[in-house]
Amino acid sequence: MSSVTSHSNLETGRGRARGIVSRLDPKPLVAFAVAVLLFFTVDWISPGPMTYFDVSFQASGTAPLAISAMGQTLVILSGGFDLSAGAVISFVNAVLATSMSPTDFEASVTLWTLVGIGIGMAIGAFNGFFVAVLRLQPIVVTLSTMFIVQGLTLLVMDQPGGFIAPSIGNFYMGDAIPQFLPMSVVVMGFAALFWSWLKRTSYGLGLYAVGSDADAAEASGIPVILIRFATYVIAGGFYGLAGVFVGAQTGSGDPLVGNALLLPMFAAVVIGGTRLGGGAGGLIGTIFGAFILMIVVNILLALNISAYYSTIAEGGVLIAAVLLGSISRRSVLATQIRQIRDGFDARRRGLHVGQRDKADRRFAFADRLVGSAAGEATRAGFLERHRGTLRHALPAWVCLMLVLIATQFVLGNTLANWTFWNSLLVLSTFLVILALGQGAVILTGGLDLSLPWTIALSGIMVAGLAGGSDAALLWAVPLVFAIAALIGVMNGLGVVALGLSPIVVTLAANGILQGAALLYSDGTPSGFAPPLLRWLMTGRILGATPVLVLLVLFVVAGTLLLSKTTFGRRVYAIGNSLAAARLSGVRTGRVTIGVYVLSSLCAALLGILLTGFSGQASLGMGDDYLLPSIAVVVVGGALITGGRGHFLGMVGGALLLTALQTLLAGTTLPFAFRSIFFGGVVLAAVIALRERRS
Amino acid sequence: MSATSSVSAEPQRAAAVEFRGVSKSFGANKAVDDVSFRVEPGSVHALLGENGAGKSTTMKILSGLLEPDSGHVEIGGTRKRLKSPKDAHRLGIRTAFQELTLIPDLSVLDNMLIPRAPKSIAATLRRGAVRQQVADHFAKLGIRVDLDAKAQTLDLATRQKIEIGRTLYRKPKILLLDEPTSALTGGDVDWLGEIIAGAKAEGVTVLFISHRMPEVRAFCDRMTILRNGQHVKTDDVAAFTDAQVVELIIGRSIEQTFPEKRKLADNTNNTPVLQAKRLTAGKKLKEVDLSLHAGEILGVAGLQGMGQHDLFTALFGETRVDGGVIEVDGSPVRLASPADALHPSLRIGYVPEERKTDGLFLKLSGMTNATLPVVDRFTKGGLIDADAETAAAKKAFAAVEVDPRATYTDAGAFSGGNQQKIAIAKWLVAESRILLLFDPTRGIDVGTKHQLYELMRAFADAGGAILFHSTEVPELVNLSDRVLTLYEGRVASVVEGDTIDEVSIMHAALGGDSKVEDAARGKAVAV
Repeated sequence: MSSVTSHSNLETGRGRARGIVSRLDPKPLVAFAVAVLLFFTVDWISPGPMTYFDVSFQASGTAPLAISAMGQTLVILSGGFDLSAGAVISFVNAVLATSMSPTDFEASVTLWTLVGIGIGMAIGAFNGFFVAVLRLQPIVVTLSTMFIVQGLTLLVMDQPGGFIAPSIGNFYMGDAIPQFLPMSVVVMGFAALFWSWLKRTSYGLGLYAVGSDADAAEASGIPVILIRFATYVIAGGFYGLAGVFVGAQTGSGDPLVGNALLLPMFAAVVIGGTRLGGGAGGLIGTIFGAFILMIVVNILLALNISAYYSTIAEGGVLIAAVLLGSISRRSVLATQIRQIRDGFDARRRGLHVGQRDKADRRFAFADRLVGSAAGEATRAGFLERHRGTLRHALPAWVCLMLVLIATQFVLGNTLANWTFWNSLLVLSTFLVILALGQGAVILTGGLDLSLPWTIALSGIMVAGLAGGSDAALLWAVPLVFAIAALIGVMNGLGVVALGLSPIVVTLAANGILQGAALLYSDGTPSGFAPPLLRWLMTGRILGATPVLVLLVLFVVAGTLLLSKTTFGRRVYAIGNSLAAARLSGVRTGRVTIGVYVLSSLCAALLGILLTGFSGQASLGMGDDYLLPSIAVVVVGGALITGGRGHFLGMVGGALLLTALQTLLAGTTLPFAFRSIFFGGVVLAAVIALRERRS
Repeated sequence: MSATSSVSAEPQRAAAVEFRGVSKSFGANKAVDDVSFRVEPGSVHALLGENGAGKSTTMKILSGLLEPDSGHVEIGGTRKRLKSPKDAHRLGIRTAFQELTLIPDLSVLDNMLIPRAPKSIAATLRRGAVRQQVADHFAKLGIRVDLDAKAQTLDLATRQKIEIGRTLYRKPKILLLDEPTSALTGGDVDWLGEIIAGAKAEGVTVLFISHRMPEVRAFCDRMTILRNGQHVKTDDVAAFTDAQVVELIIGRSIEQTFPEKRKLADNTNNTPVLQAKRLTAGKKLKEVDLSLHAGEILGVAGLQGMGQHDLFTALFGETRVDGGVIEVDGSPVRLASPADALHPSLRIGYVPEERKTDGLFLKLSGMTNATLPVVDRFTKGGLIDADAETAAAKKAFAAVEVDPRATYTDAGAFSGGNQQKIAIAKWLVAESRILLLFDPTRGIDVGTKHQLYELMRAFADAGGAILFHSTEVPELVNLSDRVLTLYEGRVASVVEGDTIDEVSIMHAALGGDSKVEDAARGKAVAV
């Protein structure tokens, strides 16, 4: 026994300082080193020596991003995703700016900070309830929350303004130790200390366990529900603090201030070395990640590069960070390159399957065993065969009918009124088009977040290129579609060839496209929609808007594409299991790239139609469509994780959402209610249509 | 069902565990149907049954992962509600699960802190203090492992031992072992026997799920047999003969588990349909030669992780070939992806090990599953012709004896055995002539196994070729025309015809060392 004891003593001595808490993970260190390096680069390229002011300015500029990204990191560690973070920041900012008395210049820092954190935690609890207790998909829950919170923010404050007491600005923007330590650094330091403690508690252990393997954690007796719930609540607290900080920076409120933080937030998490999907990483790295991003943007400013490039830089850095984090011989990119090389090599040596003799070696064993007559049995009834599909796709149509009946009661003169139907169908055309692209992507288990700026860029380009001339449409439209296809190929390649998460790729692509649109239009889109395009969207044939013909064709084509073609089959197969699809001989890369191209093409079509609808293009024209695009797919009965859903269900979802919107527009409720309502509808749909746990 | 009468029908002591009329359904499927049985305190009690007989559900109910729809469970004579694993832990019930529950990203030590560990005043976990205890505990159990290694870096057998070690660390009163020997071989099975004996000596009640009758006889006092979710019989192990056990498990007697052996065909002058020459691939496989002829079943034996997985996936184009060549019909070919293996001139099909994730699309109909590889064949004018597709799927389902409703019912709704049949039907629709079957009978019931054996035999007799790996050596012995054994990624032996026997295969599988008898015992005849 003594030998055993001494052996384990030895082991204990060697490893005492290790374990997950203090084991040094190289990734945050790399992030730290890069941040320091970049910092000196800024020093080097900017005129004059680095002063305390520069450092302090940089730190307070980074703090909101760093703090909110820390919250996001917690959620990601737990295996989740929080799209509501930006909305929470806006909301806290707006609440503070409208609640503080404009005469009170000395408002309590502690009180208002706690209010901000409290609001964030309350919204976090809302997220946590649905994710942890009801076990819904984090992406779709936080997306709904984002809708709802954005609506609430607009109710509180519909345009920038309000007042945030200078005492708060002075505190957070000021110094902890004059000329030595900015308060922002202290706040981030406290957040880091809090995390270091949190990580060592049983919650910390549970967080990593849940993120790494939730089923195993549950079976081992970890309170998975509690851990997940707490994660969203704590993360909400971080966003709340970030919201307070933003208010301190600006001294006023802005209902949209948080939106721009979402992309850099994910970038900071990934740069900081946290694995998307959960179970590995930490919050300290995220702080450095945030600094890296802010410094990169500052370097661009220092080099006098247009601010339009900043989202391009953020997107580029995000992708670069994910790639750098996964460089190895076994990385997807390396494997793909090897495979292409092997293919060429095989052809050169005549070993490629395509070069074999054409003899077909089919072996009809089933025929021999049971005879070909066995296949001739009768087919089951329609209902019997499609029961599953109907169960998920019908609710949207049933709800649509209820909403239409409600509309008749509330607004009157609708159901028998062709004008109502016409405008309902025209408006739902936009969502139906998006539903096909986003729906196909979601069916494969992905998500396309690059829609907003694909839409905007396409609209801006078609207006700019055609410049009001019908003839120019002949080449402008194909050109716009070609560019959209290229965007889709890039998205697809990012997912397939680089092996990146679709959310990361398309979020980054959205940032890059935003920069591209700004650069192309120089900030002010020019040109008008040609008459033909306007006629398509607003003219009349036999009392109906011409685009309805397109709508009908589109619905038929979309249904056939997803349900009746081999491409559609493969889309569903990939969404069920990528591995099984590969092992069934599906060339999964091509299909995956295909759905992203489809999605970009649909977005481009929408951009063109929207331009025709409103006569011109604008920069933010796509912003209102990302969330609805996902909503119609989910409301239409598709599973947000892929593999299940029918296009006709999504069409029903598009009609339902449009009908709801029309109903709301006809009431006296403020516009902001629209997004609150949307969020509620999506949540309700997900709850009603979720997969039963087995 | 039949009576639970036995010597201990009038117990003196309260049962350690007693199921009283417990039922649990998933949708229309009754996983456990009015089950009642008792487990005597301090005994080692085996739970036997086919897959889908209700063993796992029973275990999960007892572990607090599932709650019964009706009926109840008594622990130590009092009725208990087990709503969560925590409730089970509180009653001293600990489970080592078959799908191991170690957290992959956490170190062994951190895994041992789950779900509960001593805390400091600041609520932080006292890792240092626990480290010593865990090290001592593992030393006592004879588990050698670096406490700082992440669980995902350890091999399956080690993880299984830690999973068991972790339950014992919590000093259980009732220990549930869910098929622990599926990941253990040879000496490790003996290790488990000692662990169970040790636990019994300390008064722990052990519930043990296994498929292997010799282990049940060696380790257990009593056993309960379940069939189709219903209780069949509970009695002392000694009260059953092996034949009775088989009969009670499957509900009918099987004279011949395996189809009759065939006379070995002379293939010396025939070109092999599939041949590997000095094939090096993946992490393990090194310079392997093999040849597979039409009409032949070639078995591949090997302990876990000896390169068989690389061999199968390389022959299907899923794993890159790093050296050597693959020849089909005598001409070399480079398979860049599984799609290449489906080429009309090759027609190779692969049934992977992980049925639910790699073999099937659970949310798609059986037909969509089965026709996907060759769905292009059913198109007319760019659209899929439903009639042609249905006919082909129905034919294949008839061949593998799956309900024709599989044409429109989701694959996920079927039992494990039927799912495997759908996975095989896929390659019949594709009209494959070379089947690569990787452990095709894993986790399926005895009746379905028998059907699969017959199907394989018929496939080969009709002129198809099968490469077949199994973790059950008797299957290899009884089904294969030849058996190739891998050790450390290389071919250790090739035996054929009458010279195939378990002992020589295990001898080769262990690298030819002297542990043959141990190993043969560990891998003895499966029920």
